[in-house]
Amino acid sequence: MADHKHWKRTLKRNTLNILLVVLVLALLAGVAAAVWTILPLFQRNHTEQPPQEEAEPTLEELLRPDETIPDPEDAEPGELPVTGEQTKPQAPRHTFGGVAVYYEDGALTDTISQTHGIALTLPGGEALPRIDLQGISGSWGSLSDSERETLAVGVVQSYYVDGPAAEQVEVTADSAVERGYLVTVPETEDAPAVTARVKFLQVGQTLWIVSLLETTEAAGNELLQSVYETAEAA
Amino acid sequence: MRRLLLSAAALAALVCLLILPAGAADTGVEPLLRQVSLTHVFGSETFTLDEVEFQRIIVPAYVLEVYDTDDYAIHPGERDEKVRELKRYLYSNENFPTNEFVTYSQADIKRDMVADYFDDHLALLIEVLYQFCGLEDREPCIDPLTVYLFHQLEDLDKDMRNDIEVVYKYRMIQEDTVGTISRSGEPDGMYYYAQTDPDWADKEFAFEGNGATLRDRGCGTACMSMVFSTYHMVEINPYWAADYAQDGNWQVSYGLPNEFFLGIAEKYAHLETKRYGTVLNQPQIIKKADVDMDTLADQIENQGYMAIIHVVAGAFTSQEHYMVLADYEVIDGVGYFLVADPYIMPERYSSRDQLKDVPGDNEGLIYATSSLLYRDMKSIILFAQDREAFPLGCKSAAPVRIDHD
Repeated sequence: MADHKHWKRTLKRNTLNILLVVLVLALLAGVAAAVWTILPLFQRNHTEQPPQEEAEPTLEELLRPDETIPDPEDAEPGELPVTGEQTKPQAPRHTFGGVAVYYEDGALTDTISQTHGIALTLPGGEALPRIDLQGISGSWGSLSDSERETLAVGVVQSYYVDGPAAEQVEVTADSAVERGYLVTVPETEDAPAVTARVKFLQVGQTLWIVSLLETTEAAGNELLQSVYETAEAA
Repeated sequence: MRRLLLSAAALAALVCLLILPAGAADTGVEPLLRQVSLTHVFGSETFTLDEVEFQRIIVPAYVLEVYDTDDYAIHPGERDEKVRELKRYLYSNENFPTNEFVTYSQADIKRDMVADYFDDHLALLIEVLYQFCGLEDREPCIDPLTVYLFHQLEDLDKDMRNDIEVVYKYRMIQEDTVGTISRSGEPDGMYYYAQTDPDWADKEFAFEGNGATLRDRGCGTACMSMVFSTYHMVEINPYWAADYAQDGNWQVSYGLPNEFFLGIAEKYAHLETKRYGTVLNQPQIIKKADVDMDTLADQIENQGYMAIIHVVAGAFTSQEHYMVLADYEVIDGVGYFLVADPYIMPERYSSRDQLKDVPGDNEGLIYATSSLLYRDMKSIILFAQDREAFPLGCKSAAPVRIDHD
């Protein structure tokens, strides 16, 4: 009984101190949450990031195909990396900015635009099917899962002058590629039904978008599917 | 101990305040979506109006998703502070120094009684903006998306802003809604200015120090304002016209001579050529003896001409007076000229049997027969060009994105 009264008195006398301790603990918890949220901004994925250059490359330099990278087909047998097993022949490598794509010379037509990035289309001049590469300033790691899906949807919406509403667009994760999404849009007033595959490559501070766009009716072009799936950070 | 705990709490709070906003600003997908810009494979980047192709304003889907909310919506005919805010924003020369999206009569500080009124001109402007943005299915209203679109206009290419303004003025003519907005918020049906308007009636317009004002002697400046506004498709009010008259030393005892109109028309023939492509041709002074009223009626009704009539003492005035002949109509088998009288005092009219009231609340408009006008006429100043001729053309060379500078 005496102990109980003692504790009550102690509590009463130290109410303000107890409140202050609780407040400090709550604030520290808030700081910890904030740091946890923004920590990814400061993280660097060293497996994807090339060595930091002293000067930022200009857009012209980013879009110019990199001729210094040797064509694997031209390499002497001895120069090829020893992996312990036979390396399968690869299609020639084409580098656009921070992205390397693989296809036979002449198999695709590349169109480079200051505004719209790089478009890869089949010879013949048709707009579809196509692969587009575009680098934007941003961090994959800073996005939540839903924001990543929103970005994938936004990429496909940007092919339209009047993009379909988000609720008309279906998006799912693409299990075949890392950071990839499957996006489908039903037929609209001025466009056929569309199937797209969109993936993202982080190269330094640039987030590269690789998007493959086909009409749903004619989806599955083997060449473009292969180019899309093998596209990697340069 | 207490002081230590208080200090720790304050320090932790300060750290939170500094870190949290910075963290929030750096996250989010919108900044990335803003950068995504792929080739438009579907849809048209242009639209056509009367065989003229215009470039579109592209509104990305994510912008619609963010701003197309139902937080609020104000409709034409309603009054609201948000209407006043938007009209004042569009009227401001600081925001749009080279565009007339909203005019003096809609939104000036002296027209506060209509500034919060969602008038027909604003509704049409919003329709035109929607047209450029591919949102033709929307009914014009003031809502978060509309406000966002207008605020983005300021940063868009000036050629695109000019295209929007040209289509707006063109559609005004096509839909017969050209003109000023009255103090009730309703359209006047033409560019109408009264020399008795309290906004400028007391402006000094003296002759040889007689202390006269625009109210007393400003009929010529008001008529000039009506005609010039019509042909240039911008609001030019008598305040400005009076300055020109005084600077040019045009004044005579009763007001202004006929030659004033020739002089000012020549000086400002190309007032809006750069903006709209309009040119005001030289008018002609035609003395009464050379006027054929049937020909004049046909010219005004069917060829779009306008005339300023110089009358002497009679049905309209006890001295001399200028009025605008703005239109011609046959009503109940009788032909009437629509007269825009800048001196609002209809009780002074005589020969009422040859006059007819104009529906609406503008007491400066009156119908008058050919014979009455000819009887009191001294001369006319004829503007022999179609008041509805307005060149429609596109200056923009490419579409623009609403979310890009």
